[in-house]
Amino acid sequence: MMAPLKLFSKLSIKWKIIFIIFSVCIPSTLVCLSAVSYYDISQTRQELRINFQITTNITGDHLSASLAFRDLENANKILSAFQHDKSIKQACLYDVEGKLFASFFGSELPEQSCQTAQDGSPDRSSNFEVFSSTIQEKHLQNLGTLFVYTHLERVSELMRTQMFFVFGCLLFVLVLISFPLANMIQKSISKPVNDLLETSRSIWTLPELKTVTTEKTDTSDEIILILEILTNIKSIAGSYFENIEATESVLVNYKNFLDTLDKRLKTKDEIYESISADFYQNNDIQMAEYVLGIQTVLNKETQRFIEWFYEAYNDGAHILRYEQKTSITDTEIESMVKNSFENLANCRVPIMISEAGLEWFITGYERAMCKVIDNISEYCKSLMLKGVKYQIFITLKSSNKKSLHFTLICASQKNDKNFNLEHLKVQESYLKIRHYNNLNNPHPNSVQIQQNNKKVEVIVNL
Amino acid sequence: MKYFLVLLFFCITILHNVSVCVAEGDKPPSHDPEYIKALYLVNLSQFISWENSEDALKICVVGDDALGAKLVQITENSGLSGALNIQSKNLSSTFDSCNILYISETAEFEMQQILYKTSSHRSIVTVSDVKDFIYQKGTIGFVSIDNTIKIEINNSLLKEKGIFVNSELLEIARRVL
Repeated sequence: MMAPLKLFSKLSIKWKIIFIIFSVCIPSTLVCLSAVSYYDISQTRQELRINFQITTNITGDHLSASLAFRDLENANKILSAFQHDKSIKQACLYDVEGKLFASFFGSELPEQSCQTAQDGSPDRSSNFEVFSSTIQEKHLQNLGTLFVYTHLERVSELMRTQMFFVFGCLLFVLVLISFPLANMIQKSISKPVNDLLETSRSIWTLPELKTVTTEKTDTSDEIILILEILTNIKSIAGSYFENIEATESVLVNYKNFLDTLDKRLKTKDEIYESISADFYQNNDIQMAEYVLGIQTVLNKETQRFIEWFYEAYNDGAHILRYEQKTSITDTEIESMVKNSFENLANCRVPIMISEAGLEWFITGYERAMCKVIDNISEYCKSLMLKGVKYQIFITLKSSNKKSLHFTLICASQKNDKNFNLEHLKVQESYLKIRHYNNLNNPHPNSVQIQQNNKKVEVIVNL
Repeated sequence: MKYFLVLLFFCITILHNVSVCVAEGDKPPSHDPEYIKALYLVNLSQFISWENSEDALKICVVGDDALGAKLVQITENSGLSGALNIQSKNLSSTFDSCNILYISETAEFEMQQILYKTSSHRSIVTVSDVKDFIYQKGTIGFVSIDNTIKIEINNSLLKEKGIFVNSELLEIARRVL
C-alpha cells in the first residue's frame, strides 16, 4: 500500500493530475456501467420471460384444434415455428391424459426427449426455464398442456458480451477524451509551477554557483525540486552573507585604523607647541642641534610611518584574502601566523616607549606586534563567523626566560576580543623586545605553531 | 343353506362382472371410430360459433343411437353435460332446435330429405361421415384416411348460414370449400 503512494509522491504534477482524473473517471464509469448492465440484464430477462410466456400461450391457443382433433402433423408444424428462436431448446405438447402428443427440439440440444410424466408435468430440475400453457377452447377447460423449455442464460451471455464490448468502447473513448483533457487541465495548473522550476534551475545553473554540488533526488515532483533548489540557494546565500559580514568587519578595522592614524598624526601647530618652549630657552648651538634632532626624528618617523603603513596594508590585504574564502585549511592558518611574525621580526625600526599619565602609547615595533595580534584577532572573528571555535595561545619567550602570554579564544561571536593585555606585563615585554632588536639577536624570532583539536599554540622565541 | 351359498356365489360373480363392465366402460375406447366421431362432434361444438347461440348447444344424432350414447358419456366425463344437450332424432323429427345434426352413414338414403328440411334453418350445422358430404349441401364431413378420421368443411355454406368456424379448425381440415 505504501509503495504505490511513495511512487505516486515521486510523480510529476502533470502525471499526478492525469492519474487523479483517470482514477476518478474510470472507477465511476465502471460502477455506473455495472449498475446499468445489471439493471438492463435483469429487465431484459424479465421481458424475455413475459415474451416467452406470451409466445407459449399463443402457440398453445393455436394448438387447441390440433389437440382436439388429434392432428399430429399440424401440431408438429405449429411447434416447428419455435426453430426461429435459438433460446427455445424444446417444446413438449401433452394431451389431457398426460401423454406426449407432439414435441419440438432445438438443433443444439444433445438429448432430444421429453419427460413423460404420468401427471403430465415435466421434470423442472434442469437448467432450463420452463413456460407452460394449459390449452383450452370454450368449455373444454383442459385439452392438454404445452411446455416450452428456454435457455435464458444464452441471452444473458449475449448481453454480457455486448456489455463488455460497450464497456471497451466506452473506455477507449474515455481515454481518448480524458487524456487530452487531463493534459489541458494540468497545463493550466502546473504551468506556473513549471515556470518557477525553470527559473530556479536557471538560477542554479549560474556560473557562480557551479562549484556547489548537491545530492540528487529521484523525484519528479516539481515542488520538491523547487524546494531543494531554494534550500541550496539559501545555504549558498548564507555563506555569501558570512563573507560579506567578514569583509565588512575587515573594512571596519581599516576604518578604525585610519581613525587612529588620523588621531595620532600631529598637526604642525602641535609640533610647534611642543618644541617652542625649549627652543627659546637654549643657545644657538643647542638650538641647531635640537632642530637637527627634530628633523632627524621627523625623517625617521616619516620613514617608519611609511613602512608601517605598507606593512599594515599588506597584512590587511592578506587577511582580506583569507576572509573571502569560505574555509581555511590548517596549513593556511600556519602560513598566515608565520607571515605575521616574520613581518614582526623584520621590523627594524627603533622603538620608543613613552608614558603619559596612566595611558600607554605604543609606537614602532610594538605597533607591529599589536597589528599581529589584531590580525590574529580578525582571523579568529572570521572563524567565529563560520561557526568554528578556536583557541589561540601566543607565547613570546625572551632570552631572560621571561615570557609574555596572550590567549585568544574564538568562542563567541558577541565578544570581539577575548584577550586581555595587562599593562605591566606589556611594559616589561616591550622592553625585552626592544632590547632584542637593538642587540641584533643571532636567533631571530623563531615561530613554532602547534595545532591540536581546535587549539593553536604559537611560541615566539625572542 | 347349500342353495343359499350357491346363490350367494352366483350373485357375487354377477356383481363382479357388472363392476368390471362398468369400469371398462368408463375408460374411453380411443381406437373406436364411433367414440372418436362422438369426441369430434363434442369438440366441433367448441370450435364453431353461432350468431344467436343459446346457453346450451344441442347435438342431434340421426341413425346411430350408439353414437348418441357415447356422446352422452363423453359430455358427462368432460363436464360438458350442462353446455351440451344430446338428442337422438329420426326422419320424422323436427330439427329446429338442433345446433349440430349428425347424420349417420346408415341414414344415407334419407340424407337428402334431412338436408332439405334443415336448409331453411340457418343455425344447423350438418355433420356426416357420408362420402363427399360437403359436396351434397352438407357442411362438415368426416373422412377416414389411413385409419384416422379427418374433417372436411364447406365453409362457404357455413358462412351463408351465418356460422363461423374457428380458423384453427379450418387449418386442420383436410379440405375446405
